[in-house]
Amino acid sequence: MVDYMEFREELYDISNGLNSVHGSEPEIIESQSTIIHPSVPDLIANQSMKKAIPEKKVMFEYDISTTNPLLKIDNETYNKLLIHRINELIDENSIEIELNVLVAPTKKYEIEVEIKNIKKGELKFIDPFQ
Amino acid sequence: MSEFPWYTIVEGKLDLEQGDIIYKCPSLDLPQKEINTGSKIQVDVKQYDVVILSQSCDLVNAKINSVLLCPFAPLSYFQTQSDILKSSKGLKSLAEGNITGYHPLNECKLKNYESEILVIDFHNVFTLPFAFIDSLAKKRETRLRLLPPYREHLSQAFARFIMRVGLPIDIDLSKYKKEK
Repeated sequence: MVDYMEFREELYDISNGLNSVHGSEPEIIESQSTIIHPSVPDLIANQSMKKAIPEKKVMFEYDISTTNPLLKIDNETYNKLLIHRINELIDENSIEIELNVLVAPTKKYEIEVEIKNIKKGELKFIDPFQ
Repeated sequence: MSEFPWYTIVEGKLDLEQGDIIYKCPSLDLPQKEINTGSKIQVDVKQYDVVILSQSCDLVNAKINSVLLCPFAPLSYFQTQSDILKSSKGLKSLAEGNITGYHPLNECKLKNYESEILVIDFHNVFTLPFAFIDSLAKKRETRLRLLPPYREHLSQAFARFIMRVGLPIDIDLSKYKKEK
């Protein structure tokens, strides 16, 4: 299972040349239940990274399934992040890796909602001194 | 001292801002079961009077999909539930922001929006889609708006509520007590 923090850390590792998957087979990581913060695409889109290994061809694919935190739906994919292309530029012993991130549209749930009743919402005072 | 009004009435068509007050705002009570495509669910709709907590800059520039809302009720409503809010000590604590999770707003004397002191309940914040709450507010002719610096004071109070840290061991100051 990959969660958001692990995903971020992995990207961080890649950017720092600590990740060992470069040059190996494409790695597909799936998660069963992951909450993706809405800002993830902003965080990882178009990151350029340098890595001190000589391999030429590197491909990744991440498939991250998420829960929908708003509706509290478990184990349902509503958003997918696909890192679909990595371009490398060899510069002496370093490789510049460009990650292009494709964000799939949010999955929609078609559900039928029946309003049972409409009533005034009630608030309950919680006494912090008790 | 200059007069610093707490509220103003704005036209409903204006953009939403932090501190805008929306009466009878619906909140859906989702059933406690998994929701899948094709499923049919029954929901209760609860109507709350709410104040917008999301930042105005996010609302005006449509940078958020969900708007953070916080319900409130008149002070007299909470007084029916707790004796502490009937005592002068409790009321002083409320006014000073020392009752965790609750924040008072002053009386409103503006025509059609008259109210007693309102108490905001930070324990029960919820969100609604921006498009929904924007549409709901704009369908109404006018709405009440909390003005600076009370709006920022509310925002700060919420920040203090959400950022608080519980310590595993309290500091014991009892042995330092000095008899007069």
